[in-house]
Parts: sequence; C-alpha cells; structure tokens
Amino acid sequence: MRRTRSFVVVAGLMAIGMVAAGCSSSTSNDASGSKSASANKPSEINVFTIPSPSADALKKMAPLFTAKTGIKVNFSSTEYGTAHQKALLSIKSKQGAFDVVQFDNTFLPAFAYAGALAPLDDYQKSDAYDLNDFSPALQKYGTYGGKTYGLVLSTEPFITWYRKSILAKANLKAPTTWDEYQAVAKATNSGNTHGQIIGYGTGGGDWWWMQLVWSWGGQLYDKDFKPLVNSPEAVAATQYYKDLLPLAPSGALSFTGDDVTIQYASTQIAQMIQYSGYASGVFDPAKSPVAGDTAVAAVPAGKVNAVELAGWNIGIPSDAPNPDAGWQFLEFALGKENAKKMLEFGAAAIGRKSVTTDPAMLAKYPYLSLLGLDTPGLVVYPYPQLVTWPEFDKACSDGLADILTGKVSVQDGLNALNDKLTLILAKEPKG
Amino acid sequence: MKRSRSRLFTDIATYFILAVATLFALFPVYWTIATSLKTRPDAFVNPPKFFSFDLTWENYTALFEDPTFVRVYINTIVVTLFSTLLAVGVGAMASYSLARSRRFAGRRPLEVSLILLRAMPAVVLIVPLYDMAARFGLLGRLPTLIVIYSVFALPFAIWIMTPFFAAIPMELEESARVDGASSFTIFRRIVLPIAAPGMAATAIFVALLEWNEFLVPVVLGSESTKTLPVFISGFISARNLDWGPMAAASSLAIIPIVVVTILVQRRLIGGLSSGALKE
Amino acid sequence: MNPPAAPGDVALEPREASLGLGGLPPMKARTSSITRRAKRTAIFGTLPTWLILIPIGAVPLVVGLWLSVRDENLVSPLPATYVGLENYRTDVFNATFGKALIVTLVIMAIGLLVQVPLGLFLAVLLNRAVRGTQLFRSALITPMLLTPVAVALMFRFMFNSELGVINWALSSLHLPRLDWLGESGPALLAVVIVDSWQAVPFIMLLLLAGLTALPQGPKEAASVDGASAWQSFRYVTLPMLTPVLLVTIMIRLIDGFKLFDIIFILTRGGPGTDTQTVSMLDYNTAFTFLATSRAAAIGTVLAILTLPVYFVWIRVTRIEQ
Repeated sequence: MRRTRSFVVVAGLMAIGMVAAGCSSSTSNDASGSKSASANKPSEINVFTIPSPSADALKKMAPLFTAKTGIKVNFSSTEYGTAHQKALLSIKSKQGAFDVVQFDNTFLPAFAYAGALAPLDDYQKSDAYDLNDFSPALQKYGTYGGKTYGLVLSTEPFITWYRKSILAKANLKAPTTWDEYQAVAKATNSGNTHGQIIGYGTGGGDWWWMQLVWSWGGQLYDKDFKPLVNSPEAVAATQYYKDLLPLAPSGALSFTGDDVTIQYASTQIAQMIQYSGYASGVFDPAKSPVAGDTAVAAVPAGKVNAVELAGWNIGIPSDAPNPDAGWQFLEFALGKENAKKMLEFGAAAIGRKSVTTDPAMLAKYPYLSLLGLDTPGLVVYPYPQLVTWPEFDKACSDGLADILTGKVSVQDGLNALNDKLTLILAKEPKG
Repeated sequence: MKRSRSRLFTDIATYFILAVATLFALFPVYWTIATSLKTRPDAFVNPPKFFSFDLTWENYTALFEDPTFVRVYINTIVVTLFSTLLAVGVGAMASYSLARSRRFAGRRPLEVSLILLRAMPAVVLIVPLYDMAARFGLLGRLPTLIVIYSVFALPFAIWIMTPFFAAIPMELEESARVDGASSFTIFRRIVLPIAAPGMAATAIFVALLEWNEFLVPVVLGSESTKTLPVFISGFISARNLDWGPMAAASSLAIIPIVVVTILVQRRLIGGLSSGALKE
Repeated sequence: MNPPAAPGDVALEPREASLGLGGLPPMKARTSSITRRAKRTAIFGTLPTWLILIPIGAVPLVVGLWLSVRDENLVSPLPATYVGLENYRTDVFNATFGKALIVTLVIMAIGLLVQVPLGLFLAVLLNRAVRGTQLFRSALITPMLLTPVAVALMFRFMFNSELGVINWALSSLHLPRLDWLGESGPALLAVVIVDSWQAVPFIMLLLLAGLTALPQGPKEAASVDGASAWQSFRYVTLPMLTPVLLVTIMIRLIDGFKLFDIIFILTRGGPGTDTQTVSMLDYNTAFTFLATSRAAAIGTVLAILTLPVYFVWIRVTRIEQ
C-alpha cells in the first residue's frame, strides 16, 4: 500500500514538476513586468505595437527618446489578427501593462466606447505636438464622441498608382475621374497587360467598394445608423466596382491589401488604387521591379471628390500606469520636430503640413503632396466609425462576394446586405 | 510466359504511379525550399524557374538578422520539448493503467473524455480557455501553452502507447511482484525499459504535433511566446512585397520535420506498425 | 490541436484495440489480490492525466456553457448579464451557422471521396512486393507531418492566378486556368486539395499497416482457385480490411470536422463565406467580432454535435474486434 502511494507521489510530481520547469524558463520575458515603476518618476514605459513599418520606426525612435529623457521604452508587439482583442482585454482587466497602445483606426470607436482609452485633448494642445500642423480632416482622425483618443501615427489615404510607361505608350494621362480611370483601364487592357487592380477579396475588398460609394455620393448609413447601401448611388458604385473586375488580372477576386500590391509590383498592370502606406515597398527598387516606372496621383473623383483615409492611431490606455511619460514619448516621436525622422526611419508618413509641404521631403517622396488632405472640395472619409465595425466590415465583404461571383444581382445583393447591416447596426450604441 | 509478362507490366505501372504520386507529394516541399533560395525577380517570374535560378541566402540572413525570429525558434523548441515530455510522461502512466486493468474506477469516463477531446474542434475549448486564462493572468506565458498543448496531444499519446504496454508480458511483472517489488519499481525497472522504444516513437510523433500547433499559441500566446506557425501566419498581412522570407521561414519550419522523418522513419513506422499489429 | 494527419493513429487499427484505447491483458485466472492491486495502480496511474485533463479539457466546457447564456463582449463598458438563450437564437439558429455547417460537411464528404480511394490505391501499390517501395513510402508520407500553416501559405503562393505554378502547369497542359481562391467552386477545391495532400499519406499509411497485417492464406487460396487480381482484392482483401477502413474513415471525419489551420491561411473562409467552416465561424465570432458569449454559444453547440462520435467510435472499434 505504501509502495502504491509512492507511485502516486512520483506521478503527481512528474505532472507538476514539468509545468514548473516550463514556468521557470519563461516568466521573465513578459513585457508587462514593470508595473512597479513609480507614477511620479517613471524609469520606463511599455508600448503595445502591431507589426508595421510605423511600429518599427517607433522602435528606432526609442533610443533617441531615452537619451533625451532617461526613460526606457519597452516594446511588445502582437500580430494584427488578435492584437486588438488582446490589447482591449488587457486594458479592460486593468492590468496596467501598457502606457502607450497602437491600434487601427477602425477599432477606435470600440476602444473608446469600452472605456479603454484616455482622452488626449489636453495633451495635444502642447506646442511641441502642434495640432494645427494638421489639416482639419486629420485633426479629427482619432476622435470619437467629440473627444480625441488617438493620435495620427500614419496617414494613408487611397491614391492612384500608375505605370508611366504603359500610360505613355497608349498616349494617356493619369486619370482624375473614375470615368477616366475606367477608360485608361480599357485602353491598356490587352495581352499580358491588365488595365487596373483594386481589392475584391474576402476580408478587405469592401474597403475599395466604400471608396466608390462615397465617390458616387452615397453613404453607408445615416445619422441614426440606418444602413443605406442599397441607395441608387450605392447601386451605381457597386455596378462600377463589378464592371472593373474584368479589367483586373485573374485572381483579383481573392486579393486584398498585400496581394493587390504584390500583383501590381510583379506583373504588368496599368493602374492601382491603394493606400499610400505601401509607398515604401513599391518605390523600393530592391523589392519592386516597377519602382522606377510608377507615379502616383490623387484618387479619382466621382460625383463627390471623396478620398478614403486609413492609417494607424496610437493612444494612451485608460489603465496606463505612467500616462504622462507615455505622452512624452508620443509627443517626442510624433510631434512636429521628429515627424520627418519617422518617415526616414521607414514609417508610413504622418500627414503633417510641415512634412507634406517640405520641399526637400517632397523631392525625395513625391507622393507626400497627396497626404496633406486639404485640397479645396476634397471630402475625407475615414473608415466608418462604428463600435460594431468588425461585423459591419465582414458583412460587407461577404455580401459583395456574392455579387462579384455572380450569385446575385447587384440590386438584390445590396438589398440583402442592407437587411444584414440593419441587424448589425441595431447593436450600435447611440449617441 | 504470359503471366510473367503481365507481372512485368504491372510492376512498371506500379513504379510509374508511385513515381507520379511522389512527385505530387514532394514538389510543394521542393518549391518552398527553392523559393526561399531565389531572388525576388526569380521568384515572381512567369514561366516559373524550376532549377536554373541564382542561389541566394538573403532571405535567410534577413530572417536571422531579426532578433524576433531567433526567439521564435527557441520558443518553438522549448514549448515542443516540454509539452512532449509532459504529454508522454503523463500519457505513459495512463496508458500503462489502461493496458493493465480492465475495470477500474474512472476508466470509462477517461475513455469518453479522451475520445471527445480528440473529436472536438479545438476552437470550442479555446474560446473559454482564453476567457479563463485572461481572468487568471495566464495569457502569453509559455507554461500555459505547454500545459494546453500537452492536454490536446494526450488522447493521441495514450492511444499509441497503450498497445505497447499491453504487449509487455504480464508474467514479467508478476514474478517481480512475487519478489516484493512495488508498483512503481515495476513500472520503472521492468515496464519502462521495454516500452522505451515505443515511447520514443510516440514522443517524436507528439513532438511533430506540438511543433505544428497553431490555434493555441495564436490565441493564448503573446509576442514573447510567439512560435513558428504564428510567425509564419504573420506573413499574410505583413505589407511585405516579397515571398522569399515567407518561404524561408516555412522552410525552417518544415526542414527539421523532413530531416527527422528521414532519419528515424524506418524505425518509427516499423516500430509503430509492428508494435501495433503484433498480437 | 489540429492534426490533419495524426500520424500515429496507426496504433488504432490493430485488432487488439479495445474501444480504440489499446489492448487488454488476457483474462487469465488471476488471484484477486493482484487484480485489486492492478486496479489501484491504474487509478493512481491515471491521476496525473485527470489532473491536467479536468482544468483544460472539462472545465472550459462548463465555462463555455456559462459564457453562452451571458452577454460577455469585450467592447461593452457595461457588466455582463444573464441573457438566457439569446445568443443561441442570434448566432446558432441562423443562415450563417447553417451555411458554415454545410460547408464543413461538404469539405468532409468531398475529402473522403477523394482521399480514401486514393489512399487505398497507394497502399495497395506499396504493399506489392516490388523493390524500392520502402523509398516511395518514405517520400509519400512526408506531407502528413508538415506544419499545416506553412503548407497552406505555400499553396496560397502556388495557387496565385497569375504568378502561381499551378496555373502555369494547367495552361502548359492546355487546361483552363482557374481563379483558385477567388471563386467558390475552385476555392472549395483548393481547400480539399491542400487537405488531401496531407491526409492521403496518412490514410495510405494506416491502410498499408492494415494490409501488411492481413493473413496471406485466403488470398493465396483465391489465386489458386483462379480468381483475378481484382476479384481477389474485391472479395478477399477488402472485406478483411473493412474494420481498418472504418477506423480510418472515422478519424478522417473527425479531422475534417476540425479543419481550421489550412482554411485560416488559404482562404480565410472566402470568397465571402463559401469556405467558412464552423471552426472558422466560431473563431471569427470570438476573435474578430470580439463577441465572447456568442462564440461560446456556437462552441457549445459544436461540442454537442461531437457527442455522437463517442458512440460511433465504440461501434467501429467493436466491429474491428
């Protein structure tokens, strides 16, 4: 009997011992280890990032910040796929793990509504940050319910990219309207050359469609969150979206973000509508054979001269142990003085006037002129600012797939989508 | 004469079909490795370059210049190693019990649990586990991953090992018991040495499962616990206009597996099949 | 855990497997004290398993059930409350879930139809006494062991319409190029192809082990009686192989139901929701929509859907005996 017991003890020890062995090997490298830093004089801050050129640039900025202030900056990064979920969970359970948090603008309403972000309105009045260096549209990029929760970490509007040689050969100029865009696409689409490429794929194709709806003068929903995606404007825009499909390379139905750019950079495609944030890749001769042959222009205008604006936000979590030090870092990295340095460190540009109008910068990065977003008459649309964005986005993408693959007509598909969005938007918190 | 000619024909057909199947089985592996050794223009050219391309290591040097990748590789090894030890260690004891006793308290519930655990989509458990781990502050820690990995591999480990233990003649143990040896001594001195080859084979198979595990680390892990499959999945939205590093990372994930398979496969499969099939 | 090809399930097909959980000692007359001691040892030997199985395998199911009747959701600033069966009404009994279930079943069914005959065919070929089959076997089982995420990503590259090697091969053979990941049919086919690429070797290995273990007597007798190779396979080998075949099919059905990694990387469920399986749907609900409780409701229903597997399992392993 005693012998049997010794068997049990060993068995138990084996089970637990191995866990302990696993524990000791790892507990030290978690990023949230420095809560002990005193609130008055923090010696270090923790920054939550999502892998991106902007996050890489922030990391390069950190040593400069430490040299100036003596505050050490620790970074922790999480893949986009689960990043927002993890950041939100950490903040809501008040772990105080982070002093700065990077997030996609699409999640700003959800974060703000959940009470996960500290308002930045007082902070950003500082001279060093200089809010007035931004156009009015960008000043609002990061606000929810009248308060600012996110700073502009990158400014990435849709722009038109085109191959100079292909357009020149057909004796065409860069398109300025959607009609011209289609005309250029038709004129250049022959043989191995495709007329254009935009995103049609699952999980993101709808972002291009939204641009078109806005250009056609439509809206996705009204003030009371009633969806309007089957309006005549939206139907016309969707028809146009679908009509462009034959002028895109085969496979476009599965392309979103990266695939669109890879395709443009690797094959013969006359034009592309894509976020400006891809500039560092497309204009890098090492990565992109079309670097020297590509030029950019503003996104074509429709009934409305609309442009869709994307880009990272960054803010301070509501449970930050050292919000002031967090702000110091943000002001240092994103303020007027160092914004150009961020760009040189490889980040997608910040659309400050001091950056987008700087002659030296413009000479080096011609596309910057499209990032100021203060052209008269230009209507800037950020992504729909919805707490229910993830579901809204997925529903649009799924609904459009049915239309693009020909399962339903444009009108029927949009009617169905409108019904689906009605259910989703009913959950949107009002006011 | 006629018979032997038809035999020859069947042999040739067999070789031909097996060769075609092998081509299908190995081409994607070759293509992954080849792409990882190509320069960007060569990787994207049409028609594709199968053999004549300029070899480059730049995709690998780029990976290893990134300190993240080295840590990812170490993480993967650590998690695989410990969870395999845990699953095989715990599983061996359970397998021995199942093999040696027809009826005992908890046998049926254990069988039911293991079968259902094997059959249930992992995401069913992951959603509540995520909630639980978050509440207890266990997210993003290697031990959390290790324990969950090993539990998910347990049904598998127990299924493979039970026949090995059952195949050990009862008489050996009984005579030792008559000599007064304790259960544990018997297990350690008599059973384990005989079962060791089977356990080693099991450990390698379990390690392969752990090495490949994706859903657990992607949901319950963090940057500091990132494993290879999570790292590789990050290439989908990386704004990287290049497939080279992706192919390089994939190659580094699959090459160890291919090497292990080649080195030990004859013994592994031989051992497993014969061990499993012996009456 | 998503082993599309759980390799060593090999051990499952021996005839000695009882309930699929391995062999048992022969029921010889033994002194009851030894039996009692063995029982006690067995209880203690399974203790460590229970120790980790309960918190990680069982408790989450209860927690899942609890979450599923509440409105836990990461975005809401309000404390979660009890909502009864509301999550089941909105997220389970709807067209999206129904479609995901159908997609899952279709992928399982097509997968089986393709994989089992192919795996059986290759196993029979490898079982022929021809020189070099060892080498072929080594090569052919490689795919089943490889990281699904890496495999799917590589196939994604190969399926690329313009730049991928698969469409290049099709057009070289004067076959139509397909928009593999953009259109519903091809996307479903692509998922099945990648899944099969890993599953066929696994099925082949299982059936090969089964074939090797078959007694040669009946087959030789048939051949003496003048049966053709096909007849002897159809009427002698196949019936004897049936138990192993059933176990193989069951394991493949289980793994088909669990399919996640490959779809997550290859199509993300697209185009639209045409390759969205129940696992993908559950994952999206939890980790894209941030709706924990709604995902828990889907998960609970999936757990219930797996219950019958237990009874099938028992039947199949009993036939095998």
